Amino acid sequence: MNNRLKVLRAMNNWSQAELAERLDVSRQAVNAVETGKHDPSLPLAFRIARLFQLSIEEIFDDGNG
Amino acid sequence: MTEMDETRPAEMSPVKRILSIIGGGILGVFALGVAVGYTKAALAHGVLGWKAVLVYLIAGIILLAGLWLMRKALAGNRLASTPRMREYQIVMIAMLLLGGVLGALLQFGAIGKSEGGLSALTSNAPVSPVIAAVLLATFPLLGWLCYRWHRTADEHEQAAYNFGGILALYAYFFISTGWWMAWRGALLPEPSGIAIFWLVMVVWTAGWGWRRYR
Repeated sequence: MNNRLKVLRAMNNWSQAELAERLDVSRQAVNAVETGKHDPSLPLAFRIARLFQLSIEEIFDDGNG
Repeated sequence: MTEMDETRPAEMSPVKRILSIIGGGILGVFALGVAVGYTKAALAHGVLGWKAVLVYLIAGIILLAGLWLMRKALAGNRLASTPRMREYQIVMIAMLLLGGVLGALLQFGAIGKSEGGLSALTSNAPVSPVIAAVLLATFPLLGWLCYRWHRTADEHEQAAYNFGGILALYAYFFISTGWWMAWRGALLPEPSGIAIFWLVMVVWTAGWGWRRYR
């Protein structure tokens, strides 16, 4: 699944570790989501969306939209 | 793309870090094995001579090298600021320390018996009843640590753990039945439960590591 997480993180000038702390996950988890190796659960997707004040669809794209 | 956080380019790569930690641990266990094995052999012959000093010195150097490797791999790490991730990290460290202590105890428990060194972890040779009782007494603590790990690990970690677990289940299925069948056909010696356990653990760890750090 494609996503804009890395771009959004860069816009806020956060490191992966800083974003991980804001989401209460490990840095490896942030990296895995950013690179599309791990699709986040709905609760984590909502946390990400709320953190960036966007909708889930504005961050994640399953290619069918 | 590698997993390296681009804001911290000077850090050791995850693969190198894991290899360093595992290598450091193996060196530590090997050093203990050397010391225990020599002590056992020397006591069997009645006396610890001057050579013991040399052996212990070499074992000490190997142990220090292992600790140095692990320290280098963990340098710069700090505990997370959020309570959940901090507890997760503390539980992981506690499990590693407890595993090291239990492994060392098992090795020392084999003194005076027929096994020592790394083989003490895989053999069926008898160990001291006191050591066996102490090891068994830690199981509730291990269970509690496992419970806290599952309560605090994030979903990416859980997914990696589950992936490794599925691989391990298949490994157990094929290794145990295959070995058993080969034994019945007189192709292999009798299956060893502890050998199968370690093989399954290796598969589990490899699956977890690949999924988590790929």
